[in-house]
Amino acid sequence: MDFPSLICTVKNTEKIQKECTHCQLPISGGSHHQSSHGEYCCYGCMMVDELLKGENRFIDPAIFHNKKFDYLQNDKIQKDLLSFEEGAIAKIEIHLPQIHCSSCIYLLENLQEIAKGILDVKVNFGQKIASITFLKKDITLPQIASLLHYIGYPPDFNTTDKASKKRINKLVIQLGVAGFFFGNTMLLALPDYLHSDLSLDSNLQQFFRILMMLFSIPVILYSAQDYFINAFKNIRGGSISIDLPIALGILVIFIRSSFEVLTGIGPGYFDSLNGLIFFLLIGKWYQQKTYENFRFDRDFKSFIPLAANLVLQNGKNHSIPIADLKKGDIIIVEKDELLPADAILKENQATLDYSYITGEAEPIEKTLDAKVYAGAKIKSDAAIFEILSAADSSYLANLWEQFSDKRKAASHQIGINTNISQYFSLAIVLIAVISAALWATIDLGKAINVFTAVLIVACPCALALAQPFSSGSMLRQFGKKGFFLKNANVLHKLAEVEYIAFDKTGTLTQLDTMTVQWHGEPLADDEKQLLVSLIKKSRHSLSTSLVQFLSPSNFIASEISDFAEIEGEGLRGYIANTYLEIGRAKFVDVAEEASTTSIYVKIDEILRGYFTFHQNTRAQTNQLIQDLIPNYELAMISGDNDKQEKAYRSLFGEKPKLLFEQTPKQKLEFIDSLNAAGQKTLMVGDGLNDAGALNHGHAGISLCEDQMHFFPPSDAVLKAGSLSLLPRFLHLSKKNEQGIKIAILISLLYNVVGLSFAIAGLLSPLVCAILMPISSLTVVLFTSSWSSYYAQKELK
Amino acid sequence: MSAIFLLIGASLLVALGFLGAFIWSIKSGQYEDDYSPGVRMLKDPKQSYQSQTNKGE
Repeated sequence: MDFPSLICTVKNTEKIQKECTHCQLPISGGSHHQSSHGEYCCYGCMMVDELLKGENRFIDPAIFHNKKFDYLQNDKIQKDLLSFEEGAIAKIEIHLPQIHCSSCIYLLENLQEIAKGILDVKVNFGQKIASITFLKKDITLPQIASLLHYIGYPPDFNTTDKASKKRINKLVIQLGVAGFFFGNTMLLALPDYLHSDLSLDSNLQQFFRILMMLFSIPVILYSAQDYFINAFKNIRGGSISIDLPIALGILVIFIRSSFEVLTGIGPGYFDSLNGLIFFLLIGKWYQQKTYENFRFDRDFKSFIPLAANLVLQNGKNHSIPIADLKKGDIIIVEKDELLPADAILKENQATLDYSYITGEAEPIEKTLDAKVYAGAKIKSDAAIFEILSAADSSYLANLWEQFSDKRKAASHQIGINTNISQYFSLAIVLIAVISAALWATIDLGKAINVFTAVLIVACPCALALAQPFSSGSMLRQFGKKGFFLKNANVLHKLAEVEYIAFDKTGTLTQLDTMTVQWHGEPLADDEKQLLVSLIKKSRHSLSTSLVQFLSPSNFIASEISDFAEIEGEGLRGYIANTYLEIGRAKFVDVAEEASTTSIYVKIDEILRGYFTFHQNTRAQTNQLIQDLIPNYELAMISGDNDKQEKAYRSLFGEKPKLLFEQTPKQKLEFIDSLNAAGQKTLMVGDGLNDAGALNHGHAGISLCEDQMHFFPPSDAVLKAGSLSLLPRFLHLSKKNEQGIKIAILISLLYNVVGLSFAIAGLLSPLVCAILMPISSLTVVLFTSSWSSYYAQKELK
Repeated sequence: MSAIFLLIGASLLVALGFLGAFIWSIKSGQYEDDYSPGVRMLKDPKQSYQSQTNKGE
């Protein structure tokens, strides 16, 4: 019965401390679940195991009901989400970012065993998508979402994308068609080269040649169509890319070969032609390695919820899609939810976390009638807001607009190839014309021959392959180490970077970890007991880290009398005649001593000392900065206050600019000013507040923790754990450029050989058929081994 | 020698059939997920009350 244990293999056995009882994979530190049956790597494993061991019947929807998903009841939202609806049956494709092992598939595909109304579930592991077919009368969409959330797969309705997959599918079919006809053409071309009896039977010979010509037509019209389309666009746009000489070459080969075949002069170059297109497409395919889990292009809507909870006149709640929100609407936002539009707080007090929007590390307090921007996360209990403007004209949306134009403009293909191919195309046409002109003085017929031969042999096949293969294998190596690039262009841009700007909160520091320090006489254990009893009553965001820091041995909560909490200020109360006061300097009435966020402690009116809080820098930050300083100019732009300037100054040294209290707009302007000064800037950030800067920089890397689906739009995504490898990634991107240059040199050498044959008027189909694959193969082998050699050396 | 015309024609037809099969397999999404089908195959078909009634519907 416990089949998943059969298929999960155990890796790195010597290093494992703990194994999941269910799937036997090592338990990683982050996710750890325990039950009476054993220890598990994830909630999914625990669920599956318990379902398997226990008596399983349908779970009562009331158990897993989650108010959070009630908005899915709305018809308009449902219509958007459902992929299929017919009578009583509906189908939905849901992105479940938590899917990570075979047990997940097992559990999800057995969902019909634990929930009534679900007919069938199919999981796409690569894309982390579950297609669920269900009976509408037995289970509702909110119930499905709640159930998935309950069993540990919180659904993500904001991110589903199909378009890119389709494009890759087309490329694979183009590749398949080219490969098929290339193989068949080779088969028919070979007898001609071998001078067999074929030439004795001219009918058969002509039959073979006509077939080869017919085989080439679909390859050109279908497989190679993108080259023609791009070349045409290039001509209209007035620029030259590698596609133009390729398209020209293809056309010339086909016309000349068809002419040869139809007039019966020779076999033509159809095998070389089809081989060329096949190799080119392989390169394209290899480079287009995509990461199915992410979307690099997303709009601000994917960061805010799909629906808002509208409070009606009669006091009832009703969910409506975000797009329908208008000025004056009253909405209620639950704890840990995001505010969808700019609004005014209609609550006496609320704690808001702006870290993702502005980079401020600590949650801030807002009072009645304060303006709150979209994207704020509610940290206190559910709060009521009055909407100020529609969601798509919020501050957040405007910010998005500002940099979105630049994104489109910058999406053009750039790279070494572009530069070289401009000269290359020009040089080739010149050589062809000159050599033809020289031959024309001797033999006019030969001149046309030579003219086309030059264009045929010089077709920049190897040239076009250098970059895709080199970059493609580099991208793969990077991906293995947790650095995911949007495309190969980003690699080229990274190599040019001279200036690196870092965000602080969440990038150099780790969110959700606070360092607490006690300044004063050490506290006795009984004093700690008293303090913890008091602090535990507070809901303030710092209280948890404070309790953790104090952690007295054998804690027993004591009775508190006359407890009072002034939000954002402090706490006071009596415990068995001891009067305790904890809070800001002003609250306990002492002079401010610390330079960062601090909390003072008074016991029986005597100041005992104070706690200071600051966010931990990541363990790797120090090393990272030390590694980068010799080679790059650095800067830090933070949305946070400057209380820790000293600490960061000592980390960065004298020269780098450290900017604090920067709004997203100021960050963007800082990057713009660097751009204006001609600096190629790399921005490394993590929050939406960096989004503008990430896109205005020459390149932008967003850092992300385990949750791989939540990051601002950028050129690349770096896993937080691999931050210290950044200098090596940058170094490798330079190595990659070097490799491409050498490969281009090699391909030029081959071209020199080929051209000399062509100019001499000696280019036979056989020479062409041998030279072309060899040059392509050399370049492919060289670039991919160059890339993987250096990548493995650096990223061991 | 004329047999070869026939043979090549026939073999071409067979080969084109395979090309068609390849294109169909891509379009039907068979290569989109190369992990779950292998796992799915090992799943025990559970004939519970519900899945039986579902088939009736």
